[in-house]
Amino acid sequence: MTVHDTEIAIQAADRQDRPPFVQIDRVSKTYRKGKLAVPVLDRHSMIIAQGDMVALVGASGCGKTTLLNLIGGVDRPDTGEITVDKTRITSLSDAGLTEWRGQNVGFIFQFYNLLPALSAHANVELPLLLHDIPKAERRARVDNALNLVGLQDRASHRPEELSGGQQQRVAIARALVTDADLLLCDEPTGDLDQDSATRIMELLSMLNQEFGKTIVVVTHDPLVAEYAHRTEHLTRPETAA
Amino acid sequence: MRFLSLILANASRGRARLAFTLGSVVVAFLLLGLMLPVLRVFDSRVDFADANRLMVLNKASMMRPLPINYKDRIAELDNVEEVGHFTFFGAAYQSGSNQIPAIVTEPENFPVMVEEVEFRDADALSNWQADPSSIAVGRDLANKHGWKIGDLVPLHSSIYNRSDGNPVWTFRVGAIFDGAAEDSVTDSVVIPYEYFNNERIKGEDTVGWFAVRIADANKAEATGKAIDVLFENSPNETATTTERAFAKSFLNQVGDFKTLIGATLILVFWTLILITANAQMQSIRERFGDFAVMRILGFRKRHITRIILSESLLTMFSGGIIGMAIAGIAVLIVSAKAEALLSLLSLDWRDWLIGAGMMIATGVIVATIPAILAARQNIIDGLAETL
Repeated sequence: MTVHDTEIAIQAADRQDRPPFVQIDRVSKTYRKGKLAVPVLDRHSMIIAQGDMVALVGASGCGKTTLLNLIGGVDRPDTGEITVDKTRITSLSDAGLTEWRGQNVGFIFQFYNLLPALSAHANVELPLLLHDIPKAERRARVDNALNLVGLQDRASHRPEELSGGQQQRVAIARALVTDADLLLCDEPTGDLDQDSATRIMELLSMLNQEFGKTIVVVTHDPLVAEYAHRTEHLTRPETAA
Repeated sequence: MRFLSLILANASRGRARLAFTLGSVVVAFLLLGLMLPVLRVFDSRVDFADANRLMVLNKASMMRPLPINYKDRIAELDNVEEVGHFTFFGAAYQSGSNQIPAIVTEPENFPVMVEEVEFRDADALSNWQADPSSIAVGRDLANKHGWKIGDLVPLHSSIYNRSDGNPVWTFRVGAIFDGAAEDSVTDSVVIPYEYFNNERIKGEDTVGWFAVRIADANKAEATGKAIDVLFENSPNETATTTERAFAKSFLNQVGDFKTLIGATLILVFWTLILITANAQMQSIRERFGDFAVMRILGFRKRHITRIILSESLLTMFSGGIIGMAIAGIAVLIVSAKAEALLSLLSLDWRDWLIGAGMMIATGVIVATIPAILAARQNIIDGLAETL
């Protein structure tokens, strides 16, 4: 066992001692396509510890993105409970869930999902507009976030003026600006070349290790999954007519 | 205000579409800004007319005169407080095309009969009433031609020649009167009857019409009937009506302006709503993905609704203010160059108030359906739009 392996083993043991941050308890979700019921999750349970970095992997349609959306409160399960940082989000009202999401979760998407009409700075500032934060403080927080992802000199650029990797870093800055503890990443490198993908994963890894962010990454890419502390394999339930 | 930068950035997203939408809003409010003053001018002519004042005209034609001795007989009737008489002079100044509203009347009871005017200089009023060859001039007209008290003003009458056959009458300006109300008309000349009657070549001892001030407006119809009965079967039978009814019937002869203009405005705004709503729907439809992302980031449905409504109101107010401002300039130009009724046109605060109301109403109507659609949009479906 190398020193590096030993370090990883110690960190894993350390994480096991931490309290659960995300608890998913027998969650099921079925989508309907006409008369056809398509189950994507069937009584799925898992626990993610605080500061953990988990990769959700599996074949297309196995419910990875669905599970990510359920953890982030973007969608609701048909049955089962989800608790994040002691908040049972499945019991929150729509408005309560929206507010909780804005304060506690940072989202990173495969196609970045930046607003095309806004500059990088304005995109990162967007979640802060919902809070009573003075303009000067908003500016400082946006500058910090852009600085952290190495894009302080691209603040005035619109998404179309940035490369894919830069856009994804702006998206990460947007996810960080509210200081959310939970980052949910849906195929964050799926639209990037290898170099950009590596930079993004190193950035996420740094956020996990240095800032203690709990990160859940949906990916098809085994190289991306390697950055995670553990990998959760999802399988597709049987489709019922 | 927090969302202002977001709203402005979104507005600049489809610049060509925004330009066309703004263009249609500008045109609609330009029309509104042109029509409202016209409506008000015609309305004001009716409002100006007094329900307490009867007009006694020649039954055969309003152009045929009545004998002046009718005045004393009318004055004896019940409910009659004061009787005055007026005659059109048909004046033009310097050139035939520069026509001036000029009436002939008795200076003694003119301020009593016509309460819409005001003589602020009591001495000037006395001088005018004492000098039979002097005229009283409205403030607007005096300002327009630079006339002062004491100036000699030659007026050409298209109806009455002097006893020597000359159609040009020279009068001294004896007094200048103002309007009692802010928007009163003061572009006319008032000529003393006695001098006019002695000097004219024909039509001696006749007047154009009588104005009768009555004590009780509720008895206007009965009083009018009593006057007409008084002169029944005479060579000059009368037709009596209230000034207000006369003004309305006069306008009705020209056409139902109010209905016509109202219908035009309704059609214009209906078209505006269709055009703008269509553009707005298209813009919102393109941004379903953005709204889904914003919802994920913590924006509530009411935030999205507020943003859509603000965008719509911004479009309406930007285009509306430009349109109304252009209308204001056009109205200024028209009123400065026009004669008579159109010279009274002005786009004032009442029109701006109506304009602002229309901007808000149209903005809200246009935003309603897109806001509902955006609020109902499922986040997952909205995200799929971005793929």
